[in-house]
Amino acid sequence: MKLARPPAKPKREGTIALINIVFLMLIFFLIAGTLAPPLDRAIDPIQSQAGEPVPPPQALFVREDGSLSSGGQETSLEQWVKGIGEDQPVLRVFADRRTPARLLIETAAKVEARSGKPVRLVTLKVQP
Amino acid sequence: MHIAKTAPPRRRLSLTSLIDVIFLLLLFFMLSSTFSKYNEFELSPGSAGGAQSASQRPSLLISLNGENWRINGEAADALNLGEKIRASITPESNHAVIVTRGETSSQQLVSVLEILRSIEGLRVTIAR
Repeated sequence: MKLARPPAKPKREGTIALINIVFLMLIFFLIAGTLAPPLDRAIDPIQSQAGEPVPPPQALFVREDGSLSSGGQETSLEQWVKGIGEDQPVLRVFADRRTPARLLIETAAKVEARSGKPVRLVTLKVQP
Repeated sequence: MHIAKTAPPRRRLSLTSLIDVIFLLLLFFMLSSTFSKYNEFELSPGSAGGAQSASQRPSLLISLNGENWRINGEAADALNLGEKIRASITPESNHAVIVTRGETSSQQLVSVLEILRSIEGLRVTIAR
């Protein structure tokens, strides 16, 4: 008499292989990315190809209509300058690309006058 | 007679909790990291008016009015702006002032700053 052989036990998936891959992804994100401070979603940033490279900034965001925000919340110029640490050697502004240049320059001048520190404009780097 | 108990067999470390933690780390770094790069530009709004000696007088006036760019009254565009400026500066008179008029956007201002940045020995002031 011929008996059917019991079906082979399914082999266990290699957990070690899974952990390997996840570890690799983890290391990739740790090295390749930088922790991002919250950006203002309403802003379509100014683009540039050359300039001094900077890490993602803790900046004052200037929207198209001139309203200000910081860390995802509406703010005023006085409040922002007061809230920023004394140890910051330069202050940074980040503007929407459609913001009238006059408005941006005006805002930067006010920040400079209030804080007495140099102000820099941060732009998004794009590939040429 | 005292007989030493045999040590209980060591249990294998549970992989499930390890994977849990690693997944959480991976998720955190994936969500919080950014890959965009940023450039910054010096924004030094010059003060208008005031007494200026002859040596400080700007030798170049770059006026921006939307897409209309002029150097000392002469029309220029993105392609020939750099060349025209290079042709008209000397080591003694290397001070350019940018004046923005009308509906000039921040993007246009940065485009000009980017061109000026590539010119050796040029001092740039942005007029308020």
